Amino acid sequence: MRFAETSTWLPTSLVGVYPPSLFDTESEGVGDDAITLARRFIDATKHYRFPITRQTTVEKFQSLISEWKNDTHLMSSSTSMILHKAYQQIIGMGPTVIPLILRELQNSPDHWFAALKALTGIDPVAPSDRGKLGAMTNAWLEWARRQGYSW
Amino acid sequence: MSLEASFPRLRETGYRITSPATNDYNCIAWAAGESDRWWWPDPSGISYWPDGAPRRETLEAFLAAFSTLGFELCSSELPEAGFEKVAIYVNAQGEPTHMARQLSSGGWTSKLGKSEDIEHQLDSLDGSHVYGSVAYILRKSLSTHPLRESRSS
Repeated sequence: MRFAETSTWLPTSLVGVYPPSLFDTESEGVGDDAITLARRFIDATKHYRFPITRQTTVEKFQSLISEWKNDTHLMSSSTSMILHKAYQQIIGMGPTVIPLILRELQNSPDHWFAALKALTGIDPVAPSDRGKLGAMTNAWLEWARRQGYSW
Repeated sequence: MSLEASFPRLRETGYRITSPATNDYNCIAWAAGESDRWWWPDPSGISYWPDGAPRRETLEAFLAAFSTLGFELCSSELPEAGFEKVAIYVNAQGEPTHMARQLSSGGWTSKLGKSEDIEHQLDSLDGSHVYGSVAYILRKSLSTHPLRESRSS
């Protein structure tokens, strides 16, 4: 097998460092072990080159928050805000993001209630406080403290 | 992104920012004369919506919600002595997206999502990709709610 031109996937800083023949697995005398090593090297290099694969949970969460806030700041529809793809991706990250959402809610109160409801399966907000950002935030933070969450 | 980038007609017609940005309330609450909660008929029940009005994102649900405040459909956006008016904007699918409230001056006030309140002309936000167009004007008599005239001025 022959891998594509190295400049299309090798980090710029490494182009020229390795001779193209290193990745030419059709060269005479190249065995299966060499092909496996070349594939592993290419995979590792691609992970290095495309940062999203190296994002931590916190970085990914922050990136999605920025996208969501940027896209929804003129919206009045809480349904559209909740259905935004970045918001749904945050919910899709699972319960590990609950402390991150709680910290975000405490530092910069916003419409995180649907995400928390989806991730925890409960809603601690009194019906009379629906829509009241401060009261809803307090209800969720108090519930989270009682449950032993730290953020 | 500036407001003028989202609503290009604001540059031609003029507008004035009248509050800091906040996500404590939205345009629907502001049209209803409130500034302490977020109104929306979300089926999940996160936002406030008047009891008795359907929690559906339809014009009928918005008309029902505002009828609980005494509003009824009317045919003109022009100011009428003794009446307060609100406008409902809808997108291309006919779904409500935004509301504005008429001031006693004849101008309009809007809360733009989580952004600022502005004073503007009714058609300044009309036709934008964000809110669509005005579909209905509602009015209610101020005589039954004497305190609201001072709040809306």
